[in-house]
Amino acid sequence: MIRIEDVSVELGGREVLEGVSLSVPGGEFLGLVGPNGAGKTTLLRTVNGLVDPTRGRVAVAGEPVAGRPARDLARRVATVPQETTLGFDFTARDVVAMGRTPHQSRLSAPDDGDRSAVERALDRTATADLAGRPVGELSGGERQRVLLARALAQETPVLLLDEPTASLDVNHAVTTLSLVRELAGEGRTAVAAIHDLDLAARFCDRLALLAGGELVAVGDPAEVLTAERLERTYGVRTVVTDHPVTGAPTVTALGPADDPPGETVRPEVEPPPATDDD
Amino acid sequence: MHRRARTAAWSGGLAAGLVLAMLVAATVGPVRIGLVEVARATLNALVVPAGLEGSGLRWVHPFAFEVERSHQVIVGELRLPRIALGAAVGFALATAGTVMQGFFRNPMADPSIIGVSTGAAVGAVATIVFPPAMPFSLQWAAFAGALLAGFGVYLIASEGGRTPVATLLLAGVAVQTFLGAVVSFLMLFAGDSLERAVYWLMGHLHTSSWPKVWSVLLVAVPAYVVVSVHARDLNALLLGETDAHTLGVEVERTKRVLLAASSIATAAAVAAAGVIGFVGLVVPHVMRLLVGPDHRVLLPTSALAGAVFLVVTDTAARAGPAELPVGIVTAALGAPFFLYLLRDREVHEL
Repeated sequence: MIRIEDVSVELGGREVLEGVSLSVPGGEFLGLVGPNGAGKTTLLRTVNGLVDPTRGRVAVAGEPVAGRPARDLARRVATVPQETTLGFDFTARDVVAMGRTPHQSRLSAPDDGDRSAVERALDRTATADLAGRPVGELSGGERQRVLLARALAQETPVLLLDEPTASLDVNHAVTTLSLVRELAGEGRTAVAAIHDLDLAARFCDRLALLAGGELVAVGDPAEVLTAERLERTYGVRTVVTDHPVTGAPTVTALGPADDPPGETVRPEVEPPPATDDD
Repeated sequence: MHRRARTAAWSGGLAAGLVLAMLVAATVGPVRIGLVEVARATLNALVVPAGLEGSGLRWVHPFAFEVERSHQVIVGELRLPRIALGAAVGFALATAGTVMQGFFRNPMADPSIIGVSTGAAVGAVATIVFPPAMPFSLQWAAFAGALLAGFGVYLIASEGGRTPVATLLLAGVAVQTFLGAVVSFLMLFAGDSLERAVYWLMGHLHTSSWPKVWSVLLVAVPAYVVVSVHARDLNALLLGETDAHTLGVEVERTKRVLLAASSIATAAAVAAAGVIGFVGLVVPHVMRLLVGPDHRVLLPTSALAGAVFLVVTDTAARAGPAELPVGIVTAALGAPFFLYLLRDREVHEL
C-alpha cells in the first residue's frame, strides 16, 4: 500500500532522511520508533506529500505522491498531527467535519454520506459527547482524539499518526492504539510514529527503527528491539524482556551507554523495577 | 441545513438592516426629508437595464413617483451616492478583514496588514501634493499605490513558491513603516494642500459620486465571490497550513488567491474613501463572537455588517454641527463597542 524507495530528504541543507526504503502492505499497522530527531515525522511527511523527497520515490496505492494535487492525496492518506493550532473556536464536530473536505466540491453542502461519516468517526473515537464543545476548551488528550476522529472521517485507505499517544493518559493511549489496531484489521494501513517502545511493540505488526535519518532495522517488534541496537541508536543501556502478561517485548532503560553494556534477556527473567523509557 | 438556515437568517436580517439604515441615513442632513419621501426618491433614482441599444445597454428608470425636485436632487445625487459608497467600502473592508484574520490566524489582523492602505496613502498624498491634471487621478494613483505595496510585500515574503505567513506579516509591518515615512516626507512639501492630505488620510466619504460607488462595487463584489468560494479552505487553514494540506487544500495557491482578492478589494475601498480604520478589524471580530468561526456563515454576515456599520457611522459623522471624517467616528464608536463585547463575552484569548 505504501512504498518508500531509497528516499532522502534535505531540509535547510541538513540531510534529515538518508536512503530509506520501506514497504507497508495493506492492512498492516507499522510503528516508527527511534530517538528524537531520527526523522520519523519527516518520513510520515513524505507519505502525505508535505515534504518532497530530494531523492527517491514514495507511492501510495500504486500512485506516486510527488506532484499530486493535495485533494487527491487527501483522499488516500489521512494524517493525525502531533499538535494542531486551533486559532478560533470551532466545535469538535466542526473539526471532525473538516475531514470531509477532500470529498466535497467547493460549493456543495455536506450530504448524508458526509454526515454519517462524521457520526461514525465520533462514535468510534468516543468523542460524540465532546462534539458540541469548542475544541479550545478540550484537554490535550481529548483534542488528540478529535483529530483522530477527523482523520477517520476522511475515510482513506492509509492513516498516518504522528505521536498519537504523546499527550494521552495510559487509558486513552491504549484505547487509541487498540482502535488503530482494529482499523488495520479492517484493511486500513496505519503508520504511527510512537515514542513509547512498549506500546509500539505491543500494538504494531512491525516496527521500523530510525536513527540519524537512516532506517536501522525493520521487522517483528521482538527482532527490532534488541538491547545492542537500542544502545547504539538511543545511547542508553537497556534490558529487553518479554512482558509476563502481554508477551510483547518490553524495554527497560538502565543508564547511559558508557556504563557496562546492557543485554537482551530471553526468554524470561524477573523484570527489573519499572522505569519509563522517556 | 442548520448552518444554512442560520446563514440565511443572519444574512437576511443584516441585508434588511442595511436597506433600512441606508434609507434612514438619507433622511438625515441639513434639509430634513421624511422617510417616505426618501423611499420614493430612492426608487426614482433606481435604474435598470432594459435591453440593448447600439453597442451598450439601455437604462431606464422604472419608477416615477411624485417627489419635490430639490428633494429628489438632494437624495438621489447628494446623499445616496455617499451612503452607497459607505456601504460598498464597509462591505469591501469587512470582507478583506475577515479573510486576513483567518489567513493570518490572528484576530488582530486587518485589511491593510500587508501594506495596502499605506501604499494607497503614498499614491494619494503624492497626487495631492504634486497634482497632475487628470480626472480621477487621485483615486487611480491610490489604487495603483495600494496594489504595488501589496504585491511588493508578497514578493519580498515569497521564496521558492512558498509564502510563510509570519514572513508576510513582518514584511508588511516593515513596508508599512517605510511607506509611512514616505507619506510624512511628502507632506513636508504639501504647503496649502496639507489639509486635503490630512483629510484624505483620516478616511472620508464626502467626495462621493455614483462612478466612485461603481468603482468600488465592481471590484469588491467579484473579490467577495472569490473568497466566499474558498470559505471551506479558509476554515481548514485555521487549523494550520500542514493540517490544511492533509485535508486536501492546495495551501500556497489558496493563500495567493485569498491574499490577492482581499488586497484588491481593500485597494479599491481605500482608493475611493481613504484610510478608514477599524471597520475591517472590529466588524469581523464582532461577527465571529456572534456567529462563530465558520467562514461559510462569517463571510456573508461580516460583509453585510461592515456595510451597515459604515453607513451608520458616516451618518453619525455628518449629523453633528461640524462634519467629521468618518475614520474618526468608526474608531470612536467601534473601539468602545468592541471592548464592551470583549468583556461581556469573556473572551480572554485574543
